Amino acid sequence: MSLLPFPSFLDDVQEKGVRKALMEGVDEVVERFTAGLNIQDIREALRGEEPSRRPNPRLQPHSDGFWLHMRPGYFHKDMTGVYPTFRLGWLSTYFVVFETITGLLLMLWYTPAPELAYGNMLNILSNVPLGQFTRDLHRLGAEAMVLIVALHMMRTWATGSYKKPRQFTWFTGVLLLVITGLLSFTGYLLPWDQLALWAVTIGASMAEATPVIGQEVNLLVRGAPELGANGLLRFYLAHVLLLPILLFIFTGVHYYKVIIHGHSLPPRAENIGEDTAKRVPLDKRVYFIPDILTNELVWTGVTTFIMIVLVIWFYHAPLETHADPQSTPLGTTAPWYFLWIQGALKLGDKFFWGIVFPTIAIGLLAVMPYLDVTPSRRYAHRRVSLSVAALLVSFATITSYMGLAEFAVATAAETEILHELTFEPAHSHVGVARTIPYSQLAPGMYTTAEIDVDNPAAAIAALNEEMFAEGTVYIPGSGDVPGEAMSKYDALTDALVGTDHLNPNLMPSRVSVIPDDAPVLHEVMEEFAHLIDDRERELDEAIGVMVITENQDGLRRVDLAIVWDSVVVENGEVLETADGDVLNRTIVTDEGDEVTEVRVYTGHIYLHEDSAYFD
Amino acid sequence: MKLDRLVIENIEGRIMLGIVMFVSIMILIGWVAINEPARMAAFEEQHIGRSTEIGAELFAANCSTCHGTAGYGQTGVAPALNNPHLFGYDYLEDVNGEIASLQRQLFDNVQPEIADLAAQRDEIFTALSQAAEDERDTLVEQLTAIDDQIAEVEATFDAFNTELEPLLQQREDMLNSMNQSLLRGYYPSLDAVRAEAEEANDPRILTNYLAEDASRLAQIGWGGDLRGYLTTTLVHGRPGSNDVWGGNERAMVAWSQSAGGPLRDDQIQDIVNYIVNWDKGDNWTMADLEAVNQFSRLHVTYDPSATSDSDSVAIGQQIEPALASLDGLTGDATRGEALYTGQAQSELGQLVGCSSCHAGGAVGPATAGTWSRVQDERLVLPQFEGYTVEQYLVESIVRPSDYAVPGYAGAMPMVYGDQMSAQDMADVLAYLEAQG
Repeated sequence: MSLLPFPSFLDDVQEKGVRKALMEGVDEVVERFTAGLNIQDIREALRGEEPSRRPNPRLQPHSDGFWLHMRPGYFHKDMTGVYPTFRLGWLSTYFVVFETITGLLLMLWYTPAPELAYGNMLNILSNVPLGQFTRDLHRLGAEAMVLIVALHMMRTWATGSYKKPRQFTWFTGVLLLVITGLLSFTGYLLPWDQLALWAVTIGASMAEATPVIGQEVNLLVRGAPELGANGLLRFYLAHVLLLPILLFIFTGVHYYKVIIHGHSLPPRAENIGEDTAKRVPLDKRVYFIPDILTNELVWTGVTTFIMIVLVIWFYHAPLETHADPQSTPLGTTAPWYFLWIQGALKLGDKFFWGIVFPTIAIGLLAVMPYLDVTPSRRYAHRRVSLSVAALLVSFATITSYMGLAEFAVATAAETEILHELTFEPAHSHVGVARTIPYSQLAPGMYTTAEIDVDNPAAAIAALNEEMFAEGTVYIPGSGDVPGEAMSKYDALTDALVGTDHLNPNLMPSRVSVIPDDAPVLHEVMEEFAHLIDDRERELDEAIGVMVITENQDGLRRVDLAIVWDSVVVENGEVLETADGDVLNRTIVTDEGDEVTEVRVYTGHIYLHEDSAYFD
Repeated sequence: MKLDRLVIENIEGRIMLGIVMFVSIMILIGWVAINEPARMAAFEEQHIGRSTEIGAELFAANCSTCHGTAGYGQTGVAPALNNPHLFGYDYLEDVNGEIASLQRQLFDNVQPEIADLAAQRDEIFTALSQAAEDERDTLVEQLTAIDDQIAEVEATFDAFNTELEPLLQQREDMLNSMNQSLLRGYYPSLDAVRAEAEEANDPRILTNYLAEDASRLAQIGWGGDLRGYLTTTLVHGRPGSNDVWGGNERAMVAWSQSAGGPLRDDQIQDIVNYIVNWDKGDNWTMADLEAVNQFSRLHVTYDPSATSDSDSVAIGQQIEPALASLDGLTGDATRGEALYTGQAQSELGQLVGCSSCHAGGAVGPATAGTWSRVQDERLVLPQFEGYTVEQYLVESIVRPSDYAVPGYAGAMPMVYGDQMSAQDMADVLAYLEAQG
């Protein structure tokens, strides 16, 4: 007899005994949590048995529960293999969740302000346990997500799954693709390093090309004429608030459409013009519980495992030096998924290729199901559609290649070579001069003259004589200052000490042979020589010089110089003399002699023993 | 695809694979977590290395012009940063420490003991002179005992002194081995302190001075650490360093953007990392000291109430008498420049330092070309009809508000008539005339 107005647990105990009452109580709780499955049902599902009661309790969580109401109760057997989905849709969703979790962790350590952001990155890397790990996962996940979502779209095109009745599913999918790209792009800026600032600057420069209101759009996006505090805050808020909200909303719509229409079957599984996804025969059904559910849990484990293995051994998110609006790095590119626009920009008008073309391309993609209304999904019947797809992929690949810095961007040979040798770590590459182990940076002056010759010592001896021969370099005078003839060595010293602030007391007095115990140094000089050889028409009679000096204990300075006979260049072409030699630029001295102008180009880096570029 | 089917159709396989993946993930994350402290330390080290590289570049581009490419400073321009003094390395630390310890025992223990015993002896002596016959023996006994004690303590004193002598000699030798200019840089007021110690008859004054002044930070009374000192100096520059280094162009400007300079705060830290990398800890040698071109200077305490011993009178703020007093005086352009740039005091003991404003034209009109500017641009104005250049300039200096060049109104104080003598005025005018 209960004291309460309804039967209590104590009544149950009285009636059935402790053990039975307890079991039933637990069972009831479990059933409420699973929205329909009791312990017995779960046990059967995990054992791979048929459900022991009807109607099938395993469908109940789909109709009564929150978490599974967005998933179909059963799949068609043909849809459970790798083909035709390649699991790309599922993977896309996996990355949405993955990025959300890792992103939330990173948000704990980040402040969207130019004064603090980069310091936050350093703090994440140097002071937050698992900080680098989380950042690497987030960054790799972001790149992977763009790729996976794009592949998902291509797969859907290939199997014709966008056709009636799934036109709108496709449309939301294109929106999700764009949102994914924008999410990745806005995230790019947040570390506030050189890579971030300049890649995003290039990407955002498209906004300026908007007709009439270009300036206003630019201000809206960047918060100021150039990216700064306002721009960073805007990108941050878009990255963590606006775009995720849009992404979740449209992911919801996208998923809901899958419930409504079912997964489209492989093209050959249906008759032309039919859609039988919702009419799965009993013998073809694979129930979500337990098969699909456990399968997805396994794939979550496998994918996470792969991601973790990748970031432990193969991938680290790049972090360059602090963003500096004053210095544009050589060879800046937009993120790889925007390279196709950057490449297209090289085809002509900024407004057309930067705004009109991408808008039309994405717009056409979005409405494609409404344009292509042919009923058949069979590959053989869709030759035009598939050819267009192949063409578009090829076009995007080619324009992406054209977007790279090496395509059609003219840089002076000397600038490019020194950059190639000394650039800071970016995109998992680093200038080879930085990779010389500290122990091999023997102070001295080395040249490319000893590379690829039989007797390096003799070559260096000859060079030493040439370097010190007076009057081989002629520096023209200006105003009251008379022109001056000097040796190559003096011209080099002038450049290094006078312009580059090299300590004059440390300038080596002669060229030395590269020590035997510095193999990496030798390799770098070989690379230097080959880079010069590749541009020998512009760099006539060039020698590459490397001067290594001890700046502080544990800090050495590496000066690189190219000394060459100047050539006449017109419209990007080196002019030739009548007998096919390059035409040298000459100077008339004050004495009236005509001599070849010798040019010296220099650059330098500092290398600290702990900076470990060579690891 | 086979594998996939296999897994799909076999729930045991799925459960198995799921468990293996879960456990592997946990092991991997655990493994990463265990290695985190080492990884973070390695990153920190690498980061400081790279920061030092950037600092080196910034130093070469911005700082080396004054402080030298090797950081040894430039005579008369800027102090050395690659400098044991800045890092507080004390070459005399060991010997000075031993001397200090011996001196402490001598002055704090032995000497008071001797004084104490001597006082007791005096007391007994006085008592002896007044004592009755029968008490004398006891007192004489006491006196002998005291004398013995004094002799004993004096022997200790001598022992300490014998120990101290060679140490003092060693210290003196080391000081002498630094040449005079180094000595002055390292211990700027050594001579004065020596004299003070001699006068007070307390050699400890010198010892304490040598211990404290080996560090730049101690010398200027800096309360924080070296990084803080370097950061502050870089951020704000050195307002007033022109007093020390002479001329406004020698002032160290603020380098941080937060203080109006060109560099970001992370770049300031890069430079600090670079400068700190010069520290050799305990491995500084005398050669490092000799390489220094210029030591830091101390701001000389300037007493405005002090007047020079000459009986010069101020030129005053009335134009007519001022001009009259200039008659017959010849200006010395060199002294005029020293007055102008604040390197010399006026005859009335004041630093006028015109150049602290009249440089570059930001606060006051620029110096160069003053004379011709007055002649060609100012005197053509109707209110200056009949003026000579001297008259215009004297009026501008002693009564600056009477006419101000547009854009500079109200900036110049009306104090110079009281701070300068007629000769000072003549010298400054000569300097301005020489500037053209």
